Amino acid sequence: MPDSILQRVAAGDSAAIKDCLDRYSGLVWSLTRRFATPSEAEDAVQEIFLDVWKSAARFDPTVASEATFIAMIARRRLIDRRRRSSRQVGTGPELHDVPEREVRDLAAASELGEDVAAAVQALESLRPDQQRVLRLSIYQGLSHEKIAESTGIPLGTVKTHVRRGLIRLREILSGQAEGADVSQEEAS
Amino acid sequence: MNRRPLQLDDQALDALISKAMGDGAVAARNGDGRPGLLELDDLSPECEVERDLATFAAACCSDWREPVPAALRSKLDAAAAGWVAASRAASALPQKTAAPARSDDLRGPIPITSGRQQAAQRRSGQWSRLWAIAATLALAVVVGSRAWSSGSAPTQATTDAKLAALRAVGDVVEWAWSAGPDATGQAVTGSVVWSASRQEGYMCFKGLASNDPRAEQYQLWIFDARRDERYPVHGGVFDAPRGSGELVVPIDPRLRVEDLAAFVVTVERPGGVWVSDRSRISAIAKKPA
Repeated sequence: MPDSILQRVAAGDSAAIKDCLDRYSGLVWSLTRRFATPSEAEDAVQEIFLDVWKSAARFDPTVASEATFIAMIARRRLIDRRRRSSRQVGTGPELHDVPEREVRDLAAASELGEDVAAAVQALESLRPDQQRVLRLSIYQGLSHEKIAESTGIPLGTVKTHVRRGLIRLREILSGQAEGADVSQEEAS
Repeated sequence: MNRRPLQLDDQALDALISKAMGDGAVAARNGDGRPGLLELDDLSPECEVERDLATFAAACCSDWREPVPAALRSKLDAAAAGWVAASRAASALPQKTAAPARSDDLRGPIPITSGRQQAAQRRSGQWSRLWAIAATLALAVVVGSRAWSSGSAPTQATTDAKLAALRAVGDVVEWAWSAGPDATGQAVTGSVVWSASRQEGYMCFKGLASNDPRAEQYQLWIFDARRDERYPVHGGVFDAPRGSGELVVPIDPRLRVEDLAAFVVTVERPGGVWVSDRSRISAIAKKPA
C-alpha cells in the first residue's frame, strides 16, 4: 500500500497531486527564487511540478527523501533554464547578499526527511565561511570560479569546502560520523 | 535510506561535483539540453553526488514552509487540475502493451538494470502517454501565466479600456511620475493609477526611453508602508518599445499591497532581479504629502 505522497501520485491518486503542492510548493519556490529571474520563476515552478508528477514512479524512499527527489528535479530544470538563458542574453547567475551564517530550524528540516536533517547537521558542523561557500555553490548555483572571484577565496579552497561538506553529509547518513569537526580539519 | 561514503579521491569527487553543478554533463546525457529523468533513481557515483547536492539545497531552504504567492498557487492548482484530467483521460484509453516511446521521453540506452528500475521503465510506458496529454493541457496553463510579462502583454486597446474602467472605481489613486536619476527617465511624464480594493493598476508613461530587452528591462517596485523598505513588492518586468509614444503597462503585484507608499521603476538585467541594487532608478511616483 503506497503511503508517501509521490508513491500516491504514481499510483494515480488525484488527491496526492494537491498534497504534493501543499507540502512541496514552498520548497520548490524557495529553490527557484535563487536560480531563476522573477520573469521566469513562475513558469519554472510549473514545469518542475509537471516533471515531479511525471517522474513520481521513479521515487524510491530507500534512496532519498521526497524533498531530495523533488529538489533534484528542480535543480536539473533550473540549471537547464539558466544555461539556455545565459546563451540567449549572455548573463550568468549573480552573487546575492548571503549572510555567512543562517539560523536553521532542525525540526523544520527534519520534516523534509532524515537526509535533509543530516544535511543541516553537516552544514552546522562547518565554519561560517565554509557554510557560505556551500550555500552559494549549491543553493544559488554559482560556479566555483564565480564564488572565488566574488568572495576572494582561492578556487582550490572553494572546491575543498564543497567537497568536505559532501563528505561530511555522507558520514552522517552512513552513521560513520565520529564527531570530527570538519572546520578543524580545514583549519589545520 | 542509506548513503555510503563514496570511494572516490578528491580529484574525482571534485569533477563529479563540477558536473552536477551544471556544467553540461546532466543535460548532455540526453543530447538535447533537457535533463535526463531516467537517472533520478540511478545509483552511480555521478548521480549520488547530484543527489547529495539536492539534499543540501533542500536543507538550505529554511523558508520552505512559507506559502507561495497566491497568483502562483492558482496557476499550480490549474496545472494540477489539468494533470488529473489528463490522468483520467489516459486511464480511459485502451491499454497498449508496447506503446512506442515519445521522441522526447525515453532517450538513449537505459543505464539501469535492477528489478525495481525495470519496473520503473515499464511504468514509464504508461506514464509517457499520460505525459503527452498532460503536457498539452499544462502548456495552456504555463503559456497563460506569461501574460504578465511584456512578451505577451494584452493589446493596447484592451489595456486602455481596462484603465478607463479602473478609473471609475471609487478608491483609485493617481500619482504623477517624476524623473529618477537614471538617464532613461529624464523626460518621463505621466501617472500611475492604482486601486487598493482590486489590487490592480496601470502605469502610464510618456518619454520613457526605449530599451533593448536583450540587454536590460524595466522593473516596477511597489513600496508598502507595512513592509520592510528593503524588500518592496515586485510589480512586473516590462519594455518600452521604440516609438511607443504613450505607454500603458498593467501592474502585476506578486504580493498583496496593504499600505501603498510609492512606485519606483528601475532598470535591471533581462528578466528582472529579486533584489534591486537601485543603482538605476528611472521614475518615481510617491504618495502625496
